[in-house]
Amino acid sequence: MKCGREIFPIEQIGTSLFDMVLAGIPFGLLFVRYQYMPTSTIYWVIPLFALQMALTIGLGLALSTLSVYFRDIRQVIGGIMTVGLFISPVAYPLSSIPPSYRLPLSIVNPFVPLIDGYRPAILFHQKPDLHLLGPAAVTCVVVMIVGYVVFRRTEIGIADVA
Amino acid sequence: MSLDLGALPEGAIRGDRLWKRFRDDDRRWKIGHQVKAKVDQWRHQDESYWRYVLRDVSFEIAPGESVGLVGPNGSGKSTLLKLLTGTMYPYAGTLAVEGRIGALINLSAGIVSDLTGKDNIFLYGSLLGLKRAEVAKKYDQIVEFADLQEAVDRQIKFYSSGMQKRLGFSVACHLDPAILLIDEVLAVGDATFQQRCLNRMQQVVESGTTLVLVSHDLAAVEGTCNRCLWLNDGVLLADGPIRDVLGIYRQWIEEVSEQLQGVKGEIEILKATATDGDRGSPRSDEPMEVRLVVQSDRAYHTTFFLGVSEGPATPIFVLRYNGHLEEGENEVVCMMRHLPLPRGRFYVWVYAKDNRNKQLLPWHPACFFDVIGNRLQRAPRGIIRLSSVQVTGDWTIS
Repeated sequence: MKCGREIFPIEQIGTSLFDMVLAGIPFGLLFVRYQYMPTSTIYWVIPLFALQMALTIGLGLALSTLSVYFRDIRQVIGGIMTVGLFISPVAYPLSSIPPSYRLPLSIVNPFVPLIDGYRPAILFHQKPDLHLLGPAAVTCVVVMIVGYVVFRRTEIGIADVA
Repeated sequence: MSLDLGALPEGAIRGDRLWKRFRDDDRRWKIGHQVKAKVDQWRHQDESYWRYVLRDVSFEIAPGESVGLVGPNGSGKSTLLKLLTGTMYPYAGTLAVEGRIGALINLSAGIVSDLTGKDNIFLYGSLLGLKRAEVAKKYDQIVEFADLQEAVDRQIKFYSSGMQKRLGFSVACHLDPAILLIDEVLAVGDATFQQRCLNRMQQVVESGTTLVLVSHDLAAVEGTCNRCLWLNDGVLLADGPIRDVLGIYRQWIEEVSEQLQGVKGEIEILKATATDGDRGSPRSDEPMEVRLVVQSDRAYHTTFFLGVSEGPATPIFVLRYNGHLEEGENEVVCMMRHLPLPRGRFYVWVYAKDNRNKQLLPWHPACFFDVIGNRLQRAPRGIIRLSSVQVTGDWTIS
């Protein structure tokens, strides 16, 4: 029983998840303080989270090995994250994006419906927009599969170039 | 990785026509360059920057065998070990390695310098797929062998390199590996720890573990292994019983060093012979005469050093003589009364300096000779005999 190298990028994701759990504690306290409880729509968090993990694992696997081959990737990632923050509805609501752009944007950047899905599910007692989430889910699964394939194929040469 | 060609027993290794190549490419970080390389590769054009470090290497190692892997620098020994551990993958050929691997290839491999020695032991165990309880069972043994009782709770980055090496070796060989791979590790530890390592390797081999040992210390290889693979420039040149392979390997080292011969210092050796004094081959325990014809451009007060070696530049013993060289040809004769050497081929190495310590002749082989006599008496297994000096004794037990 040997441990696969997938464990290293996934371990990084685990570290971030632990961060998220810690950040969730004050978030939960706010709910208690303001006596505002989420309703059953909170269960939408589970599929949303699963899709988010699929996407993150796929990206993480692919980028981890590729950044061994192309060191520039490590430097560029910070910039891409900033851009990603602005093209995702983190600091603004999805409603400020023109309706005709929402679907293509969701397919290209599945974080759009994911982030905009958490918010209604937890805060507004609504279910996420499935017309956007459905196509985005396809993207997430494709990214995970492609990421895993890329990882498998590039992992072979890591020790040769590192 | 293990492409099965039939089930292998635990602890067995089978390499079939292994090839490994590396690309020496200083622009490999550039994506554009990579794309171009891919296109070239696709068109089967540019093969130039591939360097083949293993060429068509095939071998099979049965469980419990102890195999030494020798060869000059850059011959592919370490690459082969990395293939065995699964760190690298072969470019072509199939490799099957069955069983848990304990490897000591690189000081820092598998060791996190921010963790304590204790954490690292458990981490390494889990990398090998062991349960925490299984490692815990061996923990005391590991610490005791590595002699780190005071240091286990210290971070690895505060360890000396010897301590790191001790920890690495101890972990690798105490976690019941089916295969133990060791790459030139005995170089760091002090003399007592080296001997402990050798003893431990011996025990591990006797308990049925397969051992692959890479070392330039031929005496250590000879003392530990019973089979030897000789790699040269990526090609497996020899595979056989340890003494046969090391014999031809030592001879080959000598042939390579012989290219040094005819090195001209301030003086030159025109002719060198080593005989029994009467043109015959020298015999064990009998006198031997080394005769050097030395050409000198001027007169010198000289100190001659004459060494006898098994091939490499490290002599078994050295003789030294102060004398006066005249201008022109001189004959230097050294008569040894008892030749303490067993049967085999040995080499005469020579060095000379003048009375102001200026080098007149570099240390180089001058000639070889074959000794007639008894075979060398072997040391017990696992004990390294540094040089093959044979002294006959009369024994009594009363």
